[in-house]
Amino acid sequence: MGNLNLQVNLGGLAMKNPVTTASGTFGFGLEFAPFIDLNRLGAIVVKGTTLEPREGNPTPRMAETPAGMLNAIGLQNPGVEAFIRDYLPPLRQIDTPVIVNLSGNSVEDYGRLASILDGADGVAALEVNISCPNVKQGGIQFGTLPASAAAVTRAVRENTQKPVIVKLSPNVTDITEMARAVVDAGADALALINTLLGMDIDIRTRRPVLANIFGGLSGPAVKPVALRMIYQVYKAVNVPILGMGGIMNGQDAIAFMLAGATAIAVGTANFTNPRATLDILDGIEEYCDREGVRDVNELIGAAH
Amino acid sequence: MQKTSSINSSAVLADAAILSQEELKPGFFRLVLSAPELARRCQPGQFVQVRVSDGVAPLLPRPISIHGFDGEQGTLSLLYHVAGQGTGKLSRLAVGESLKIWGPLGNGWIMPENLTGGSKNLVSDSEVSDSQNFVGGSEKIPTDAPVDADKILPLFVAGGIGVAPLPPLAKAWRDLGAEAILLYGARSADQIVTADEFTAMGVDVRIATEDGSEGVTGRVTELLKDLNTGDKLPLLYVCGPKPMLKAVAQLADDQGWLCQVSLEERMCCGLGACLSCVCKTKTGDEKVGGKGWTHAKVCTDGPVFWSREVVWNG
Repeated sequence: MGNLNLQVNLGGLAMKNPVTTASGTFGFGLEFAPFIDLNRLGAIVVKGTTLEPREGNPTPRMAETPAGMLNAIGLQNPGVEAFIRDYLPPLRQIDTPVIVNLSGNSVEDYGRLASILDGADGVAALEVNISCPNVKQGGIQFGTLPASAAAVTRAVRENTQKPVIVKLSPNVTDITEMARAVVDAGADALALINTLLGMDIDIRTRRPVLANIFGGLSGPAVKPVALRMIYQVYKAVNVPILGMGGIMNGQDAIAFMLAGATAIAVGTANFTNPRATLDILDGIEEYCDREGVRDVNELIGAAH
Repeated sequence: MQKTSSINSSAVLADAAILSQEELKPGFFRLVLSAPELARRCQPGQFVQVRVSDGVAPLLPRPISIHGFDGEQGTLSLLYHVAGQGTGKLSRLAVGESLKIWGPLGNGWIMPENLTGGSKNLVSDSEVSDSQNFVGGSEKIPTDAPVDADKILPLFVAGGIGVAPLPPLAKAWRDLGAEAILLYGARSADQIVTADEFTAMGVDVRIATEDGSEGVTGRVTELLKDLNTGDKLPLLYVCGPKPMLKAVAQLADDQGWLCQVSLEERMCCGLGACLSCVCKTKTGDEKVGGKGWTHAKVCTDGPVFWSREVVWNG
């Protein structure tokens, strides 16, 4: 295993290995420090950050579903200024790049966030969440319209020198159309998939389980959808993909890379095993060792 | 700033072997696990995440409060009621099988040693304690006067399976020689479990059942109403369903008693990362134009909170 090259490049972000964390499942990183050596991760994607602090949605905010879970946290976060002041300094002590996931209510919000984070020491790249409600467009999500997704991407691109990773919503008719739109607008890489919009109903109370009614479905249940979309997008555009959606072990991660992912993010699996990220990294190494793979980059898109 | 100090820095991940699994009453189980490192780190009122299955059903771990721990023996006991798929599967596991668990998690009950000594662990409203050793859901004790443990009447208040996290606390007060009372409410006698453990520790156990099949007929609040507290200040430690917590907290507040509650919410990570398990707590900023509350994390800011911190009507 000593000769194995695990280094990948995600749109200008150099990573020592392909394993990252999915935003919202790993807090601000340090929460998992009792269980894993954070220095071993390829990157850490932290909790979604907005301009102002947000308290998020009422509870219940999560529900378990067959082989998955629904969540409707509602972007609870301390706001970008508090993130930079309180959470970034300890993250700087870790020898792992930090990717900040950002969300806004308007195109201008995204531009301002990008500008603020561009000046923050210790932020290696930006992941742009375009799946949250667009207040100005009366509830339409940025991530489901190519033109607004492109507008958000441009606003971020124009306000930062750092790599811009745009996280795509799967709740669209044609994922490749969205991918092309944001790549044309300046995205250095794409992250997919975000959660699938879903719901559950408690037949005893005869009410939706989540206070927000709808939530995002994640976990192993969504893996086939994620793989399909990554496979499609890999063929449609020429930027690296950060793949995620139900990755539970090393074999899952390999499948995502074969479909076209340059790096992978671990989300729901962090809840089922606080060591999941490093177990998955070990699984990738074992696979490469067993299969005679010398460079993980050989795997990217090899299923095509 | 939010409480970044509430990270569970002492938590460990363990493959815990099942030493015993006992059905105390129909649907109520006590599980004893071997988890030496974890058991050594426990504080009363904390919980563990239990992964019931290696597969995807159930997918998420179950947060279960710690019913007992023995650092010398390296054992941990969990008391649970079968409520769904996860606890159902847990109840079918047998001696010799093992479980993935991680913890101890969360801030537990305020302990007698944190009350004694007046100023050391008592923090005024203008200060914030950053002591990692402070055990208790809040950094502030909601009283201006110093509190001595020997002036306290510890009152354990349990609703149903809410009795689970109380024995280690009762043990701590017993070790001080304190006279303590357990007020234990349930629907019926077949839901009263482990009361004898408290009796064996010298705790005065008083029971209320809604159907009158054991003890006083009615809810646990009936037991509180006629309580003779003597010249001591009651400190209530309450765990049970939320309507019960709210009713007891209201009663305690009306009487000027100290009251801690252990809250429950749907939880994913248990580590403060996912923000699923929040509850509304007061911030006191409504007077200066704020909304007066914030979403605290039950897993790492709690599960134990001072009842006066909680927004009960939120």
